Order: sequence, then C-alpha cells, then structure tokens
Amino acid sequence: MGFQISDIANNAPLFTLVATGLVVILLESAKSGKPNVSFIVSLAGFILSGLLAVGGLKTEDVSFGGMLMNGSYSNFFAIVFCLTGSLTILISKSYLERFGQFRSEFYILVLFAAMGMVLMASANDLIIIFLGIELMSVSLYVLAGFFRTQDRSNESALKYFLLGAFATGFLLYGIALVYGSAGSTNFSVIHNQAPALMKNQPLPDSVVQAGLPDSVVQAGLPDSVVQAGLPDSVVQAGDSGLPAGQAGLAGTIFLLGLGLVIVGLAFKVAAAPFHMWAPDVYDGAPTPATGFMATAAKAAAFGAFVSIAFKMIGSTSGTISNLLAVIAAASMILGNVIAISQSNIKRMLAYSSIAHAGYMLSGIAAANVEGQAGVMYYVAAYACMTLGAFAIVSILERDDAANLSIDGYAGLSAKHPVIAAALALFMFSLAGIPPLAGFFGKYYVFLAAVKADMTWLAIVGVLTSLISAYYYLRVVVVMYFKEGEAAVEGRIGMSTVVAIAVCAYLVVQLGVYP
Amino acid sequence: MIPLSHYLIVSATMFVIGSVGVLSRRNAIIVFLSIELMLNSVNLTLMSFSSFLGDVTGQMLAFFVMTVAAAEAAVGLAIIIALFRRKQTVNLDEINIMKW
Repeated sequence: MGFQISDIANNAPLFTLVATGLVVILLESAKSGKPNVSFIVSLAGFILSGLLAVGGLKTEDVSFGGMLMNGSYSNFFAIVFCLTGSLTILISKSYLERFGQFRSEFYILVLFAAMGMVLMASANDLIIIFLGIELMSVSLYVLAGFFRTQDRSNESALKYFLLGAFATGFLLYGIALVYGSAGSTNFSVIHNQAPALMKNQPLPDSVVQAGLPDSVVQAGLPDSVVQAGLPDSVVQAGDSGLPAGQAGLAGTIFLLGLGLVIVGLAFKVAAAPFHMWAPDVYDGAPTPATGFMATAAKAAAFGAFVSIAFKMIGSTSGTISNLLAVIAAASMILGNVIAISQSNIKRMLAYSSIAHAGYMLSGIAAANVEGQAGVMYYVAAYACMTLGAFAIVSILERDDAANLSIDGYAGLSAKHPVIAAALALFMFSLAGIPPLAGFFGKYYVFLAAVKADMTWLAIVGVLTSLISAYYYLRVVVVMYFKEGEAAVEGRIGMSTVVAIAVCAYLVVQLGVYP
Repeated sequence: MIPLSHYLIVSATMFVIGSVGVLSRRNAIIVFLSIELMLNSVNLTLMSFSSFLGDVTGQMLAFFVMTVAAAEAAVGLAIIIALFRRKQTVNLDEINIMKW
C-alpha cells in the first residue's frame, strides 16, 4: 500500500489530462482572452494522453492501493475519450467563433470532463466511480449551458443538472447500500462476497422483479419505481428487527443497492425508462458539446457499467441479467420508434443514441466475454459515427438555432457533395449497413446475446434496427433526392473538416478491418 | 445503544421525502434542496454503516459526498441564476421552450 512512483506511470494518460487542464487554466488567468493558445494546448494534451494510453495497453496493474485498475481495458477507453475529446475540440473552434463564444473555458471543461471519464473507466472501487461520474457530469452541466445568453442552452443545462443530480442521489444510495452489505467499496472484495450475498437473500426474485423492471416499463418513470418498490422493503427489512449484517437481510440490501446503482448508471447512458432528459439536453446544448455528451459521456458510462457488471458483480446473476435485458429491449424499442417522428436532426440523433445505448446494454446483459468485447468495439464505432454526424450538424447550424430540421438538408448533395457524402456515410453506419463500423458493432453484441441464450433480445435488436434504417436513410433521401436551399453558414473551418475526415476514416477502417 | 435499523429507517425516510420533493415541487430551488436532502440521507446511511462495520471507508466516502455536493451546488445555483436573468422565473413549468 501507500504511494508509489509506478502509480503515476500507470496512470500517465490521466495525469496528462490533469496537467493539461491546469496549464490551460493558468494560461487563461495569466493571459486572458487568447483562446487560440488554449485550443492548441488542449489539443496537444489530448493527443499526448492518447498516445500514452496506446503505450500503456500492454501493462496490467492496479494502482493507488487497488483503487484504480490499469491495463488494456482502461487504456482502451482512455484512447476513445482522447479521440472524442480532441475531435470535439476541433469541431468546436469554428462553431464557437461563429456564435461569438470562442472562449478558453470550453476547452478547460472538456479536459476536466475527460479526466472524470478516464477515472470512471479505470475505477476499481465504487468511490472512484462516484468521483469520476461527478467530475464528468458537473463539467457537462456547464458545457450544456455554455451559451449562457441563449434560452435554449440555459434550459438544457437546468434540465440536465436537476435530473443528473437526482440520478446521482440514486447511484449514491445504491453505493451506500452495497457498501453496507458487502462491507467494502472495492470491486474485488465485493466480487468475492457477491455469490454468498446473492444466495442468502430471502426474497430475491420478488424484490428485483416487482420493484424494478416491470413497473418501470409500464410506468415509464424511474420515480414510481423508487416509491413503489424500493424504500418500502428497506423499511420492512428494518422493521423485522433483524440486525443488518445477518445473511438474509444483507442479501436483500445488496440487491437493492445494485438495483439503485444500475438505475443511476442507466440514467447516465440514457437507457429507456431513464432517458427523459436526453432529447431536450441534446437539443439545447451547443452542438459540439452535444456531440461530446452523446459519445464520450456515454462511452464513459458504459466503461463504468461494464466494470461494475463484470468486475464487481462477476458472472452476472440471472436477476441482474434479466433486469439489464429488459432495460436494453425497452431502450431499443422506444428510442427507434420515437426517432421516426422527429423532424429536428439533433432530437433524432438523441433518440438514436437512446437506441444505441440499448444495443450496447444487450452486450452487458449477455454477461459473457463476447459481450464485453462487443460493447468495447461498439463504443468506439458509435463514438466515431455519431461525432461525425454532429460535426456536420454543427457546420449547418445557423445563429438562431434554426436549420436543424431534417427537411432543411434538402439539396445538400448538389451544393456540397463531399459533406453530403460524409453525412450519408455516417447515417449508413448508424443504420448498421455492412461493411461499416456500425454493422460489426451490432453483430458482435447480438452474437453475444444469442450465446447467452437471450435470442429474444437479439431478435428485438435486429427488428428495431430495421426500423432505424427508415429514419437514418430518410436523411440521405432528403439530401440527395429533394430540391432545396441547404447552405453552409459562413466558411467551413479547417479543423472541422479534419475532424469529419478522421471520423469518416475510422468508420470505414473499423468496419473493413474489425 | 440505538440499533442500526433505526438509522437506516430514518435515512430511507429522508431519501423518500427528498425524491417526492423532487417530483412534486415546481420551484427549481426547492427541487435542488430536495436533491441535497437525498444526498444527506445517503451520508447518514454511510455513517451508520461505517460505525456498524467499524470501517472508515464509509466516513471517507461521506466526506467526498459533501465535497461533491458543494461543487454541484455552486454549478447548479449558477445555472439557475443564468436562467433567472433571462426569464425572471425559476418555475419549472415555465421553462419549456423544448417539449419536455
């Protein structure tokens, strides 16, 4: 135990981000009003951190007294965060300039959010998960409200903040209950205790089933669950007069805690019953920030989700798996069906991100090695294609937040054939058309679901992705086969073009050589 | 000595009061206060488990929760003020440009 130099070396990507964030703050305070410098420094920080993460892929180690787990898993996610972070920065430059909001704070916030994400992905302890989520979320609340003179941006920040803090409450209560029943917050310790705790509970099925999935799906609200299912049984458990720590009661508390942790995380990934915030927040936030939230934040939440499902709970028990499968199916159905009726492209992408959260969750519900690998691949593929789509939306967006309707994209192919082709590529990939990255992502997670005897989940997934093809391809049809006045506002920033090119390259690359 | 279950009942009740407050109140600041109540009920749970188990991790986590809640309060109140400057209201029913 104790502090060692190797702890810093193992977490080099994290510390690079920390250092860059602090340097940018200092630069900003010393020479205020030079956002170009901050832009370059933060970009360099992200690239350096990403390279260090590539270098650290091979070493498997724990650091800081078992609090952090370093290795291929955490470094893979660190690469994804650095990639999305640097692309977000590239996209944001011309967008912020156009809106007269080109300030250093944007880059500082992106850096700090990325720090929280790296913490979440390398966590080996519930405390680190909590700290990482909060570091990420608090930065993102501010990013959502970055245009503080715009009503839409303010509104989106407030909604994100209130619902995000509400979900944090559930997550924390869950952490507290898990801690109380397992006696530790460390994943490895909980992992050893979990089988015993799961077996000795008095009413295992009824708690999870009556309390969580069914009523959630029916009511569609997280709240009713909590009121109906959870606290009552806690109170009852207390009433029965058993001292906690006795096997049966501890098991119940453990399951309740896990349920609450899953609710909190499902909120962060915007999975079905807990998705209410996503469309409004994605719609109102500045587009580069939306892209960052939809990709990196979701990737980070899945990084934490996979750690909790595989490292903490271990061979996910039947009840937890079923709970996740129900959430996954609900997200896929709800996200894809509602996306059809959206006319605003940012809201459409928001619902599509809910559906993609469902696809990724089915990999976690499968609870096998293929599922884990599939989720990791999916996260990377999803990040590239969605960020690319948001980059193009940011080019086309005008000052008054108009021109976000899909019909406004009519005639884009005639005026800007390259941009239209890139957007078509991202849409094809999101729809899951081979040989692009999105197809293989879906293939891997559905394969994992079939191997775990959850064929029904894979069938739901395939059917809903057929539905999704409709609204993704509608964008392509509008761009190519309708006459219209689509126009790019002002000059297209060089950095944005670079970002779109990188995304497009990765979508093809990940698809052709999976 | 007061048994653990009493502390757990109190904190669970606080948690429920907080979440009902979030759902039923329409004033952004009251909603925010209800969230703080939920976080503090978690702190109570953590402290009681920590003392019951004789393990300091829970107390450490409670400190982190307090710190994070303070940071969250700073950001949250700033967001509410920015919104109030534009709209002269903190009523959640009137903050509805985008369909909820």
